[in-house]
Amino acid sequence: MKVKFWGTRGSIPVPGKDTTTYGGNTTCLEITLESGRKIIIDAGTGIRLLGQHLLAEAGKIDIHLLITHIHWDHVQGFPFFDPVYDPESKIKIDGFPTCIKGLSVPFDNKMGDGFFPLKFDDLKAEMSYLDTLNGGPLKVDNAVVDSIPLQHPQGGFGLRFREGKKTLVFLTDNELTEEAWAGRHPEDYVKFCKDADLLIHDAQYTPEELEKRKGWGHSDYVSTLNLGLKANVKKLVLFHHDPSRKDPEVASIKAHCEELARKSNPDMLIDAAKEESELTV
Amino acid sequence: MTPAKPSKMYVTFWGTRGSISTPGRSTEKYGGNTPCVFVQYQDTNIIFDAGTGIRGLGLQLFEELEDRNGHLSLHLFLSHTHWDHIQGFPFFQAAYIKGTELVIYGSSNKGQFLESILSRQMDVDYFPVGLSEMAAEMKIQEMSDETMRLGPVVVDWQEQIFHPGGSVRYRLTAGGKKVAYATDVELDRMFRPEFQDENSDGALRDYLDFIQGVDLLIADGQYTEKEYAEKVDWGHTSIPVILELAERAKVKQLAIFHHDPQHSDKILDSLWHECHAGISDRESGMNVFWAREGMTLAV
Repeated sequence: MKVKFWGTRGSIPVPGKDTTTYGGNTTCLEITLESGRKIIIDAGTGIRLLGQHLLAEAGKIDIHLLITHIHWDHVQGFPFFDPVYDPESKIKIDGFPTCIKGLSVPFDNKMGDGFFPLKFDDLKAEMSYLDTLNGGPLKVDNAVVDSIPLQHPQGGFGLRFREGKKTLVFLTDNELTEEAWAGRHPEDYVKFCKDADLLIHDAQYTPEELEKRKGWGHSDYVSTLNLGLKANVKKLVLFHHDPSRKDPEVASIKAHCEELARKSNPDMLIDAAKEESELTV
Repeated sequence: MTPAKPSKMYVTFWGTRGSISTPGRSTEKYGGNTPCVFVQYQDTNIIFDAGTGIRGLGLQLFEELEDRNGHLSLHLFLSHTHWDHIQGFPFFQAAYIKGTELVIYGSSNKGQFLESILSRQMDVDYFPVGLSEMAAEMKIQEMSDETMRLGPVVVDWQEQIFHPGGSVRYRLTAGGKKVAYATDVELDRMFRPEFQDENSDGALRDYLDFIQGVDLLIADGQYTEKEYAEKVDWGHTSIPVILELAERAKVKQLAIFHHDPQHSDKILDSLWHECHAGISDRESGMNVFWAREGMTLAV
């Protein structure tokens, strides 16, 4: 399968010259299965350009959209996802149980109360809520998707995609902490990520920054690296870059992780998520 | 550096983009942040709208805190509460500084709506920090009197009906100069006979009176004429109409604002060229430019 990054930034979009390499759009990923089917993860601002790309590429849209949680930076692009205005589009939605609420809240559902001038009911696409992931794995063609609760205020789901012999794990907005408030422990995530070919994980903070931001639901890059090492993943991609982080700072975090990893597992590949880049698993 | 005590209004664009933030290389020049404009006149600090651009402004104000004797007094005027005009607010660092005085103004048209929508944006389901957790001394005030005075600055305002849900335009007068901020309004519906209704003539007269002779007009110019034809009733203006009306009202400088998310730097540059190719035909000498993030004007 393939994964393409359309939004890599955490919290708020950050346009400008300081973010043109790693990207300023909020969370959105496009996964393409061997079968060719597309699974979109999250609807941050990155989904705007993805929508245009999908329409230009395929014309007809028949996709899955999985929502990890409904904080703004993961749903704010949805009104700008062009396929929702096309009656030919089929969008199967699943993910965290509040996902439909999250996707509909930007819209003007009662006269004049909205953040966006259209009603959710005015959207033309055929949208359905699968409500599968909350109870167990979701099968999409030959792939199996399963979920794990996140350590994040108001919760969320991390996602694992398995197709053939390949495994991709996407965990963002996840605080890897010993003092987990929902009964989770870093070891649970190690199990979930075990031997994955690709782990994409929240690495919003430096260890120093995390000291002041405990309980905000994000990880520092050293904790993220340790998860990757313990789980023996083949490749780790740092994700959900802090809005204050400039491109050279993201690059040096990546370099620091590589240096740290060299001692225990020099074979593990490390990268920082770059908008518009695509990886094959 | 101590900020100078300006005798002019200093107008800085922190966000110029309409609808949705557009990061990336193709918008580096004109900017991808959603609306936020900062106006400083002597000690009076006025902010128009709280799009994503307000994040950068907040960081700058925080850096300047010492130069400002450790104290911030800010007036934030919201044109309306569509997302692109308020979505930066939870990231406005100045609002997290204890002792900052922050007054937020908006339309009184909808009862307690202003406060409720700002709270709703920071509802625990969608954002981890609540409005009440912001440390600033915050006051949310619906506009009442037609004219307000903030120290030496006079603020006038009017409702704009030609936008879904309505919006407000503002005009500042200080030091003998006028700056108007009038975005998110569909002037084509007021001006072009084929789009007019029974409210158009009155609305047009009010608009022209309001912007008459201003030194700087920051105006919605989201669409080309061709694009507008597909976007009637979306609440935004086509460029030829704002050019015509601003010139008619003898506006001295016109900043085209609220750039469409589809308009790359290249497209905006070519719109500028197109506009200036015809400008020698104009007698008025009105200066027209496309608002650029980071740009400061002294008015």
